[in-house]
Amino acid sequence: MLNSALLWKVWLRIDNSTDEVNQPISIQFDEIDTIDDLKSRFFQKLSSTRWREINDNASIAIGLYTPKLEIQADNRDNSGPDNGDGSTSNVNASIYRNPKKSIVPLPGTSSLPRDFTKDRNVLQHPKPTQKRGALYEAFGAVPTVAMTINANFSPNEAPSPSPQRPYSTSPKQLSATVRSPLLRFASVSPYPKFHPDNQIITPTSLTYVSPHNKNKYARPLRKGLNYTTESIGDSSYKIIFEPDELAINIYKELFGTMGSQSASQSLLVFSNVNLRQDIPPLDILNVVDYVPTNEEISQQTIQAVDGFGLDNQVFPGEQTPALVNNDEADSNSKENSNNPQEFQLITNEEQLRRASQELKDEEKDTESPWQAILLLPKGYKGEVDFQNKPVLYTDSDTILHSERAVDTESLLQESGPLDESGVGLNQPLSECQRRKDNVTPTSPILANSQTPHYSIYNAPFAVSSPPDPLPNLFTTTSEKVFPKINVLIVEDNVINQAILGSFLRKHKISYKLAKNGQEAVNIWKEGGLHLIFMDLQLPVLSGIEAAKQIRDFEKQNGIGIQKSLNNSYPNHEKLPCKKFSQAPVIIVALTASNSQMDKRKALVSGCNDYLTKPVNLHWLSKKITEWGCMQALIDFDGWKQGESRMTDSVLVKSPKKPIAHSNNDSNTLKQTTPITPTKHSPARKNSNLSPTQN
Amino acid sequence: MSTIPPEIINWTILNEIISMDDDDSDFSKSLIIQFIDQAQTTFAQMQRQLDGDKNLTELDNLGHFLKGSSAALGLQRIAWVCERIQNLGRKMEHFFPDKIELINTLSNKSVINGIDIDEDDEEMKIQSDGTDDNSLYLILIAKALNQARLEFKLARVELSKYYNTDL
Repeated sequence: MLNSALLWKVWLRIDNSTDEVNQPISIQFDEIDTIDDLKSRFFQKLSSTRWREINDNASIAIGLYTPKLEIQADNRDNSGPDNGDGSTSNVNASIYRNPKKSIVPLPGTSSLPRDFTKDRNVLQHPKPTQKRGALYEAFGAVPTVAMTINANFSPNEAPSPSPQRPYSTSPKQLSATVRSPLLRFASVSPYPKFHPDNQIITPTSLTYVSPHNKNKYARPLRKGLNYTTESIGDSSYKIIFEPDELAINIYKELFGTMGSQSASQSLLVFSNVNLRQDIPPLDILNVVDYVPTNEEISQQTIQAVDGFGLDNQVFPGEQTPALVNNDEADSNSKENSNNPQEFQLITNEEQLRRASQELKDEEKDTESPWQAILLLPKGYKGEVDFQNKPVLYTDSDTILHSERAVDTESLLQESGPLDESGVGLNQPLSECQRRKDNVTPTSPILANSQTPHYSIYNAPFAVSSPPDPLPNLFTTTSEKVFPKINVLIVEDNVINQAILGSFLRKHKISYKLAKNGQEAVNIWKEGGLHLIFMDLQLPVLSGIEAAKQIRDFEKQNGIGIQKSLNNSYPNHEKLPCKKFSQAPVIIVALTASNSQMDKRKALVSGCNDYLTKPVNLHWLSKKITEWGCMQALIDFDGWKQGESRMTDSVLVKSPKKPIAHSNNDSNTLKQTTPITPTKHSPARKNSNLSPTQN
Repeated sequence: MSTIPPEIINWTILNEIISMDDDDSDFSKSLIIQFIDQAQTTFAQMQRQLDGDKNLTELDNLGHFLKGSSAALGLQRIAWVCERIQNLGRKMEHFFPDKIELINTLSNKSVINGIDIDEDDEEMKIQSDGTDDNSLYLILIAKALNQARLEFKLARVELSKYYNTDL
């Protein structure tokens, strides 16, 4: 090899880029350059672009996607990225573990492309669509690398280097790939599982192959190569290399000898990482065969290939991994793809129902484009950010809003805390999936959970990225939605009152104080509260009891539930409705201990969330932001006008299941908590525990 | 039962409070002074319960109350002892370690130099007659309360050092 004579260069491309800079870009480097240096040079190359202006070294990362292997699910590694939160790990930790079920490559076949996929679990590099859904795809660049995962692949087996093949692969090889045993495309739920224990998959060895498996790059990543993994749903990981990792090491491990990487195998530049990390992934599909991007098609003049594998639903030239195995319940929230400009304005329930039905019908037809419904608050103005992809909603004519949700219940049950980048931008999680995922609503998990989907969006898949008509790429709705909310602190200890109060003052959040549960209920009855931080063990009336009373009053007054239910409480105490938001108040319990019992009691009594004392001020501010944004969104008009009034488009409905708590107090009506995630329903069933203060 | 933290003050927590001094220069100090008052008052209330009503639930609540503020200020050893009192009041624990054992857990044992560790101890007036179900817990709470006073004294010394005044 004459590598020494070549200039060292590595191809990079921006993940999810605009068409402005979605081409692979080659960056020269030398042996002392780190990932960080690559970033700097990448910026130099793009110095005049808008992308450059909105990113800096700290906001981008270099890495790639790698699929998880279901077959290795039993091969857990606690130090690995199992928790889905993303954790730094060392590749080496998991490289050489042998998954019980993995297939041992036949000797001598590794250099034969035709046999390659029989021996290795070749998984295609998941594209953004596959992780984030079709909408995202419609804008985004498509990563053009393919990965193979093969835990049994030892370094000694590193195949002989072969010249890079161009894209013009034969149909035969493509079909060989999709017949790989792991590509049970149709059998995989497209929805991510969020329970960390539900399905734990660790990447074993990471190896890199060319898109069509003709090049034998299947080498495990080097020992000691440091990277961070971030779980993207249950079928793939995002690998982000540490900034101080040497570029040459990465290159050698992924591509082998210098010059082996083709432009189509670009490493990905993830921009605005923080923002994106907050956005849960979309439909996760099991990885399918490589599908060339549009540009690649035109560049390489590849003809569409017929004769894909039996299960294969992918059509070359269309970057649409079909969603199969859909739950019926998901249909409303199905993420779909389209040209982003081809949306359909839905302004009333009837239209929405029809659109929803169409979606359902179309799902059966895998060739048709996938669509999504995006519910926007009534009168919503502003842009919608699909992972930094703006959609053009600058004038109200283009605003999609609905008067009612099609499936309020599922929306409701998807309610979780909003996080800053999540307002209306996230994909709904299938309700069925959620029910399966028996997630205890602990604070951290909630924070990572799905946010409700409040926007209706209808966009067919686009083969080509449309021009980006909006100048401001990174405007998200959340930037405008800082919660301007009224908070009540219920805390008997003056010192804790002082700490929380001082914190809220510092953040210019208006608050009131109550020193016991009874005061809390009384202040709540005055109206106007959005968020209550409730200590549990309080004199006079415990936080648990106070939460129950508040929920009961809410139910009697039809707050947060369908109006028709109002009639079932003819003699209820009337609240001064004018000042009342129609949205239920959010109650965050301050549990003094780590006792699971306390937390469960709090949630059963109607609290939405909890914080463990001593309250970490960082968490406190997160909760205020999350729940405050939620309230602001629910009560969007009121929030905008400075008064509390529910918008027509807000969808809150109480789950119908009554709480089966064994409360002896007959005055305490059974109640439900509209925004409480249903995830803790097991706790409701088991709630033999006395709800009273112990 | 968890083990008592070796550090008197959890500075991560206290520094969060101190960081709010930017707006109000004496904010954290005023909280500490308030806490010192509160702790002394609460200890006295606990002692009254031990001497008088012997109400375990009340002791639980008092323990809980002081645990909340001490934990919020990062005074974690006090908070730990308060949690013991709380749990003993609930009869969820049935043991309290000896003073010397707890002192030995201190990461910086020099803080006890010059301190009479028994100075604040109140005499135990409860007799376990074997018939009263609560007496065991009352005795243990009395023991824990003495420990709480000692921990309070140690914390006060540490905080006085930090604020450079006699708190």
